[in-house]
Amino acid sequence: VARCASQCIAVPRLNDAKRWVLIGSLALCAAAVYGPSLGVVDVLLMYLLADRCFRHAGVAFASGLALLFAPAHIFYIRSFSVDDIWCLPVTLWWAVAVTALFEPPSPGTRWMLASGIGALPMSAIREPSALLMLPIWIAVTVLMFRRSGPWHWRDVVPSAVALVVGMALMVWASAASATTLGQFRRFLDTADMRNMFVAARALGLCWDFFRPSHLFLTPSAPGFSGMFLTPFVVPILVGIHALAIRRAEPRAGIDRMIPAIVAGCVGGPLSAAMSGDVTDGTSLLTVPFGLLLAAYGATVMREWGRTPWRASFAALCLIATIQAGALLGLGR
Amino acid sequence: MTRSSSAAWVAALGILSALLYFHSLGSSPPYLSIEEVAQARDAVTFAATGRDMDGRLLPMYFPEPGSPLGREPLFIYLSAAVLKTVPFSEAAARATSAAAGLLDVLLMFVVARNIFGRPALAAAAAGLLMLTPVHFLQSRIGTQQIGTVTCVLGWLALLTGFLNTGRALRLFAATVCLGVGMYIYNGGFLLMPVYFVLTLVVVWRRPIGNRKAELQAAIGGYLCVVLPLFVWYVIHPERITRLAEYYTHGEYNKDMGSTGFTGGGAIAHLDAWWQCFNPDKLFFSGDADLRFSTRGAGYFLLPLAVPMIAGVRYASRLLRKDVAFVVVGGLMLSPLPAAFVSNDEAKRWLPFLPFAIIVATAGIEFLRAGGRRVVEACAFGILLTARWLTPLASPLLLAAFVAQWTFAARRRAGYVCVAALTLLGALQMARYLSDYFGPYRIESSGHYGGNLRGAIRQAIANSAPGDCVRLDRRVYYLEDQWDLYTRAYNRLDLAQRTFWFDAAGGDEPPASCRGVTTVGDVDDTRFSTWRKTPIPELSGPVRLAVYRSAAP
Repeated sequence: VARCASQCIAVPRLNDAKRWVLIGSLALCAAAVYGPSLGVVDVLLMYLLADRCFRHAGVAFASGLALLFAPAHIFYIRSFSVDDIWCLPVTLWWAVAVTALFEPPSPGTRWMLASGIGALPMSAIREPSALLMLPIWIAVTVLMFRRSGPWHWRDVVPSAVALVVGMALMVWASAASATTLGQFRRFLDTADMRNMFVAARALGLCWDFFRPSHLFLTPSAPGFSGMFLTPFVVPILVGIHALAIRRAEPRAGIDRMIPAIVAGCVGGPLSAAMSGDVTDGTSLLTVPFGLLLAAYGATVMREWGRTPWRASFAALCLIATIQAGALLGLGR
Repeated sequence: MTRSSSAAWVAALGILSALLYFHSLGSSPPYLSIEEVAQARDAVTFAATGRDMDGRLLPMYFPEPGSPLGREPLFIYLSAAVLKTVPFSEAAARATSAAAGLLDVLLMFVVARNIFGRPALAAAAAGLLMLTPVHFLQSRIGTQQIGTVTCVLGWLALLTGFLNTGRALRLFAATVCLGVGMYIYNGGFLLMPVYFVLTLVVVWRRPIGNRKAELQAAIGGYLCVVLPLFVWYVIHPERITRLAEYYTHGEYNKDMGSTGFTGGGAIAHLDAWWQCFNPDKLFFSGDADLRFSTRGAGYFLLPLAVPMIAGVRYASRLLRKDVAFVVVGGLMLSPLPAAFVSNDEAKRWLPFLPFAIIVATAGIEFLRAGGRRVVEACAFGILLTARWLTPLASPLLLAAFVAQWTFAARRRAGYVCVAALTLLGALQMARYLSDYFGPYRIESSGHYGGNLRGAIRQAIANSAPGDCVRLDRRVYYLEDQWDLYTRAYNRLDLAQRTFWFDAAGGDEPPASCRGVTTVGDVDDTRFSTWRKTPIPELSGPVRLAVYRSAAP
């Protein structure tokens, strides 16, 4: 396992072509596990997102792999309905697109951002609570834009146009299906956060969603896994701690993604809680953003020193492998 | 100047707390709960005889009928001392708790002054504790759990004093407080050793100079109080077994026995710890049981959420390193008793209050200092809180929010934030108190078994010497309350001539009784020819009646 870890870390030495072969194999692996579904796209996008946040192909590879074996992701990817899973690739693409703000504005980065923001309204087609995430994502984009330095308002004009077009498309698609807007109206009635008791219930449900047994160690689940594999509790906690400490020099990309990570981890369950129905499905966004946090924590652990890092990484990998095996029913 | 202003603050806080915590103590909560009855009964018996109900002199634990565990001694001894000086009443039964609550407020002042150095800020911290709903409510319940807060505050006051001055005597006294906490409540029995270890770690992290002497002082203080308890447990090891039995069955640990601590059951403890910090309970609704919450406010006033979040976020920056270690450690570890028994009612982990108040006070100081982003975030919090707590129209609130956002960079913007939060807090507390002394009494009365007190007093008043009493065993809590009030009003003669009945009949009083008084259902037709006194309930409909017959 330690050797495997070393090889993962050594991935940056590979050239671009080899990296794509590697991640392509990973995607094929996902296809083999899940069947042809949105999960393959999720894994690829997770790889891309982590790569752009950490500029480290090893971390990106591990992040893709982690999503591949995330219990909640596996469960919903393999279900017949795409209602819950639909928003995931769209939101992940948005997250990849906003990483364009880490670079100076250019035609390429402007259109990359525009494509992500334009696609965002599509995430809300299937799930009313996802529509509530839309203003949150837009607010996060504005916040990241304000902190981006060289970007000016004129650079985001294509994004604004794309958003308007995307919204129009969403309204059209909703009108065509004749359900989503009505659902959303009903959802807003139940999710009236101006009422203190509705807010209290939503906060309570959201807090309950994050209880340790639900996230990491569910006694009744296969392999005792929660939404995440149990060993991820360590890097996620390290990641939260690292994010809470303000750094003099921000890390490449990932520190600027903090608003997106917070919104992704908390926003999903909170918006679902407003309707009084928090399930793993309606809160699936927590998984990729939680894994991004775990990747951040893993990079911090790596800085603690070579030997402790390798030892803990090896131990966590071993436990995760055993648990993933149990989860997938290997050895039965 | 500082000393005199501190004295003025202490006097003002003491008077205000006394007014608030002792006001209508006997009638709000409306009646004694079953736990209060048990404690008061022990105190009445001990005050009269110096013995427990089994006749043991100066007992370590007071046995209860039906429960082999027994109650912790300290509060019963204190309550007995109170009952030696004043006649029994519901207020007297609760006076010890209310006094502990008052002492908490004063100790909070000392702790905050040691930490922040400014009397005004210390007074703010003490005021916050005084107006914290869960502290106010628990201080008015005549059972011992509030005492753990007093002990922890005593420990904190002396520990922070030690950290400021380096005087080992204060450290000794600090750990004595922890030791005393083990004689108060089961939660304290579990938590105080944890705080003791926390103290040792704090001392260990200090410069090496006097470390050995300081560690000796800490250990010495704790041991000299805990040693008698330890010896008692060596002689009576069966109580450990009973404790384990009690807290692994029934409502505790999902009735799973020892398996509640192994395998899948173990994770439930972590979940219980997590649930203790649920914002719904902390800031909106409190405990589910109406005896421990009005359900109209959380453990804390809602506006306190804003400085508390700021305080938690920046605790390491706002507090001295060693103090931050104690406060954050204390806050995280306080729910251990709740986690241990998988029951997150606030009474089990009340010692979290001082730590939370320190964090909130640090947050207030942080907000007062201002800064554009701080005020902007605070403005958002104020907008939400005001929307939830006031009937003001949304456009007005939004206008206030925009104004606050616009002037966020101004020098005094932080003061405006703190003033707005204070105003909202005062508004919510006023509403809370009005509810507590008003509708809550009526709504909660059923949870105390109704007006049993009225029925029993009437029965005692109706009964002449030589009379017999018949009681309906279908009335909840009647047996315990009858036992208490006959002891408290010195009518043990009636207790000896008490006969129980139910729907099918029951024990008949002998012919030697001069007359018979009965407490039963108001519509019981068996007593239709008897003289009937209906007992009014606070909530309206009459449920019980006292019947009187001149002959058995």
